[in-house]
Amino acid sequence: MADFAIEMKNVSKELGRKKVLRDLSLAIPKGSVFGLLGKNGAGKTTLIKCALGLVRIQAGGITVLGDDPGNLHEDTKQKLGYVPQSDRIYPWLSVKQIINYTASFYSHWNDQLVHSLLNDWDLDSNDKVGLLSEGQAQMLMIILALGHEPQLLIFDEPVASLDPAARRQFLKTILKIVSDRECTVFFSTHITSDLERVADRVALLKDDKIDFCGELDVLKDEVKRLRIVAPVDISEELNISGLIFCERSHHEAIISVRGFKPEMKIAIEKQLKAEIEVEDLNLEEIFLELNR
Amino acid sequence: MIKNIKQIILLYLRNPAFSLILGIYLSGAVSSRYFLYKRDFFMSEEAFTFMFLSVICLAYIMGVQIKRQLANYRASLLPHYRKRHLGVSSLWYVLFILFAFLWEKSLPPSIIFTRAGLTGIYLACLCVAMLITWVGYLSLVRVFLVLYFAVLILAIQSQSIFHMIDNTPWLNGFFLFLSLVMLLLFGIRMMKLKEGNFEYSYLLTWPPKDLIKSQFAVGPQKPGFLSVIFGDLPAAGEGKTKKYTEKRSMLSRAFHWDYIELAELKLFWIFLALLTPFYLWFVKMANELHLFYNNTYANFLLLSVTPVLIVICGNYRRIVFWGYELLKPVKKEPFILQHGFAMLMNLLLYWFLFILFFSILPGLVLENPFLNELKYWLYLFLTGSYAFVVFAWISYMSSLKSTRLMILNGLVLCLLSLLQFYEAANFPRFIILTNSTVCLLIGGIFIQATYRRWCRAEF
Repeated sequence: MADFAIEMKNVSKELGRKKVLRDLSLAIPKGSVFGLLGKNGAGKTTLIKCALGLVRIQAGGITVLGDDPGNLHEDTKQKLGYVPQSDRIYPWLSVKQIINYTASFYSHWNDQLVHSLLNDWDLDSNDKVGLLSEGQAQMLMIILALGHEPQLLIFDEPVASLDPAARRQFLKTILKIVSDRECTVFFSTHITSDLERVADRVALLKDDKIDFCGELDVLKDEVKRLRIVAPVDISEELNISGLIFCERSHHEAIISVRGFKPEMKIAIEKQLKAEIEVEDLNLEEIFLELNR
Repeated sequence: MIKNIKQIILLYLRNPAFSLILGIYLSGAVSSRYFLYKRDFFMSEEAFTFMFLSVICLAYIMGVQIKRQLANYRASLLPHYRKRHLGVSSLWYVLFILFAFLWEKSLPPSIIFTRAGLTGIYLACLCVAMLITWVGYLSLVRVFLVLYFAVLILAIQSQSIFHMIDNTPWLNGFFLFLSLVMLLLFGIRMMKLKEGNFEYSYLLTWPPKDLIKSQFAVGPQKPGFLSVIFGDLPAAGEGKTKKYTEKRSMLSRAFHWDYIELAELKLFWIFLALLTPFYLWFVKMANELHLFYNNTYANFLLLSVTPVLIVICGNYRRIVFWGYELLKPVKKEPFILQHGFAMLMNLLLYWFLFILFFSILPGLVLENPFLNELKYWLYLFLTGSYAFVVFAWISYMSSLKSTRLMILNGLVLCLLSLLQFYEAANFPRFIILTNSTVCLLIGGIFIQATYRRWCRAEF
């Protein structure tokens, strides 16, 4: 059995003439809650679509639950759940009807879970789908993706249209699903606070490649902001490895570094004879620093 | 599996448009047989027309449904999704054909519809519907609409088409073969459809917001050889084209708005111009078509309804942009007026094209004596004025909020159109002229009402 729910090796994808993914490799361990971060247009949605075989790749190889996404076996499909950024569903059907319709495709369907989620999110099963608000439609999509209790859940910006209460409920549900049974969750989002709350691993997509992939804590340990106060003016060129950003003002400087290690602090202190304060960054700040 | 297939069948039946037209199809078939039983051959044929028309609409809706079902992520990710959806749509298709066979069974020899001709026509029409669904909102939409209605009217109006198919075995076989090949290709393509395929985004979707999304997803077209011929004119403000704000007359402002759709319009003209010699050759060669062109008065629906549908379909998607357009420095009332004017100009243009291609040009080749009659020209005038009424009435309906009112208006309009269709050609000259004048007046009243309603509308 493969250890990874999704494994991408040297994947390249072009949309028209634009290279969206270039020689990209990514592995998502089973049982992890994996967050994908990236600026608008970085290729997050394309990456997810490639992983699911919704679009064809130009080079490389992908496996999803050990299967080829371009030609997914029916058994693999039973284990997959996906919520896209936006969806078109039959507006003339009621919520109940679309649930029955979706359920009929799967060999296993948890009615109890679906009904409890409908209650939690105040969705009336007799409402017509076409009359739901964007947020409610998004909730319905999430419920439809969870009903068959998949082993791999993929969400593309799942909470973009949800209000804070629904967002909190969604995260709670995800955490419960992961704790109750072995399930892998892979999702992209712009809301880094959500990602920080639930994800144990993250990948950062930048310039059509994976810039970082690993545990969230490792990323937090790796990227730091240093406040340097030196007795003399700090020279123009700071010779610090992994320097991302530097803002100088006479004998003070604020720098962001990647690949921080405690020895780095000692070395800079020695070099500049300065006092250095190391600041931890939250995920949003890290994201901003790495995308400068 | 049975539960799943039942849900997919229900998906069709729960679609109000599909159920309604299926009801018309079945009632058309039943009443046609009933009138046959009663030996009322005229009414039986008329009821068959309903059955025939509705099966084309059904096929069209089915095509839209199939694309809607398969051009999304569920088709790739839900177990057995594609096979079962295509299976159910094939089942519907077989049922339609089977129903036609049962309908035709034991027909008396005096009835002209024979099994071979019927099958050929059904299959051909289903293929046309599939083809239209396939091309979707490519810029050829207007051209295909014209072809579609031409085939439709030719098929239902000219008995000669039935005769041609019945009496020419190879033609019947050709239709059957073509239909099956196309359906097979359609099925194979749909089994493999992915987002990267060119037609994926061109879904015939509802509501129009989705359509716009899919159009945006396609993005701007790449410049190429064809775009030099068929591409858009320079945008307003570029080169010699004046900006909208610099245009003073309503005519030039109306043209400004019309430029948005002009690529299709140009294509339509070029397409027609290229096809004209073949078209005239075909008309001259196909002797059977004399029956159709000699019966010019029966072309009422073709001349008065089709141009309206082309204009309305072409402009329909523009309405959803009006809210955004009105945020620009334009006033609402003149803005609505200019759009209406642009649509009227298009209506006149398409009506003229139809008169040219379905009356004047064939008349030259066929030396049709009807062309020299005053009544004939009055009749053509009536088709134009009735096209204006249909256009005005449908525009008025577009401004209605109540669904019931819209259905009621639609029913009245359909009944009036049928009345005109059956009776207008029999009227004397004076009545035709009066009829046309009344049509123009009624159209004017509807246009005025529509203008006022749209001016008050919230975007």
